[in-house]
Amino acid sequence: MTTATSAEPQAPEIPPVVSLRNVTRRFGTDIVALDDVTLDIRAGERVAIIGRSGSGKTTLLRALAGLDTGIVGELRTGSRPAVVFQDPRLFPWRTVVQNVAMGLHDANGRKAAQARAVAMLAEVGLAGREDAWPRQLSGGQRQRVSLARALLREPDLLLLDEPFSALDALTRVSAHALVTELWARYRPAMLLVTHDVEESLLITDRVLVIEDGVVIHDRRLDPERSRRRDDPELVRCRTELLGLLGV
Amino acid sequence: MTAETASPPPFARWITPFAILALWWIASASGWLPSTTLGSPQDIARAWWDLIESGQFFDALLVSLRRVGLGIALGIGLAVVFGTIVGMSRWGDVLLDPPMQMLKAIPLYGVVPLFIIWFGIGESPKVILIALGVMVPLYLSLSAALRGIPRDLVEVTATLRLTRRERVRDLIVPAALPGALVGLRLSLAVAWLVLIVSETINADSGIGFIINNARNFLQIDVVVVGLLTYALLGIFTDFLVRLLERWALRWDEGPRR
Repeated sequence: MTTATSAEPQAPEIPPVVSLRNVTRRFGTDIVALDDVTLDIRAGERVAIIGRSGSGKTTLLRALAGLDTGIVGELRTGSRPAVVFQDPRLFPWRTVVQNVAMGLHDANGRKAAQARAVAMLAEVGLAGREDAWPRQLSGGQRQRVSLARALLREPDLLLLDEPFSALDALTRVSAHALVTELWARYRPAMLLVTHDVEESLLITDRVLVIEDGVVIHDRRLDPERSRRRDDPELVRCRTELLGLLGV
Repeated sequence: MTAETASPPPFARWITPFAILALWWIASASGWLPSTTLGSPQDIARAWWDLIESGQFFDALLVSLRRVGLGIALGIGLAVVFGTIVGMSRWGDVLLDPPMQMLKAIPLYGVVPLFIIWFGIGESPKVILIALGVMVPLYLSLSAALRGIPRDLVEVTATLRLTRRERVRDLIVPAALPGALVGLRLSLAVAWLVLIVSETINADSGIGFIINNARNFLQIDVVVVGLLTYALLGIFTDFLVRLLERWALRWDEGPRR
């Protein structure tokens, strides 16, 4: 990890949370998953990365999560990144509250860490399920546990790797609302990897389109815009982004 | 719950053993099973009681338990050390797995003559033989279980920045335990078998000695007492591991959603 100076002219005094300069990632000799990517993400910014399967979006997220050691270029990520994966990745042999509090070191001891986990579970709507085993929860509930586990660490960067893709349509709507609500409360920078254009327009304020490892489109949206699915501006954006994805 | 999934009551497991005991008793009482072939249940019980009263039984039991206990402890220790090295490190796998596989292929009872030459006829060849028998199944299942730890969860421990200690406690041990316990059950079964073989070949004490001695004097009842003792001990240790298994998999019980 190296330190790079901010390239954002809007806020030169606050360094961006994420800063990539000419980042490249190769797998083998002929697969280029990320090709000379330069990108900043500011504190509290909500960014979506959309792209087809194999476009490099998950590679980017894994690099920012610190899970990829094969990166070439300058990369600075959040000091406390947290990840919500596509599947909840809970430890089946630990109870819900143990999963959320896992690895959490509170200066006031284990009891305090446990209490914070219980409070966070209540925030994601799972009060009373603390002592359940993960397999006793529904898919949507498990993903909420995963979200609670990520947010409890007070991340400065929340990485979401298609966390809603395995949920049914109704559960997804409430999960979107929950993420929006929690983001507003904790204000981490947020990076959402998705292939759902509408989702990116509903819960983020900046959309990157990535293709063959290259960011081909970077668009900031008005944070105060309407988020109705039938809003004409949103529909226009969706059509445009789908066009970029070649749909 | 439907009739198909309703589990039989716990006492149901005892129906067949008691039925066999009843048949045995009837066969003996009716004279169909001569006592020169197999004594009646009462004869066996009397022989057992005589052995207990004379103090021979518990002396022998203690000797056998000591052998098997030491062998199991040594075998588990070796299996945990080698299984962990092989399961956690690629170099360990490359360097240590081949000799372990070779050891697996050697028939254990075939090394008895060699062990007698090396270690004499005292306690050590028996304990070492049991240890080897215990080590192999547990080693195989433990190293496989450690290799099979889900990579997804390993990544989570990295993103949560777990310490090494937390990683062992929250991921490695609970993930590997169910698989390792399957091997442990097999290991303990092997321990009793090896004990029986090593005590039958040469021993001047222990349950196996009682059996051999009785054979020389054609005391069939005493031979049967020795065999039943082995069986009960085997069932008991298996029961202990099953309890441990249920505890290790307690998170996998109950209704799934």
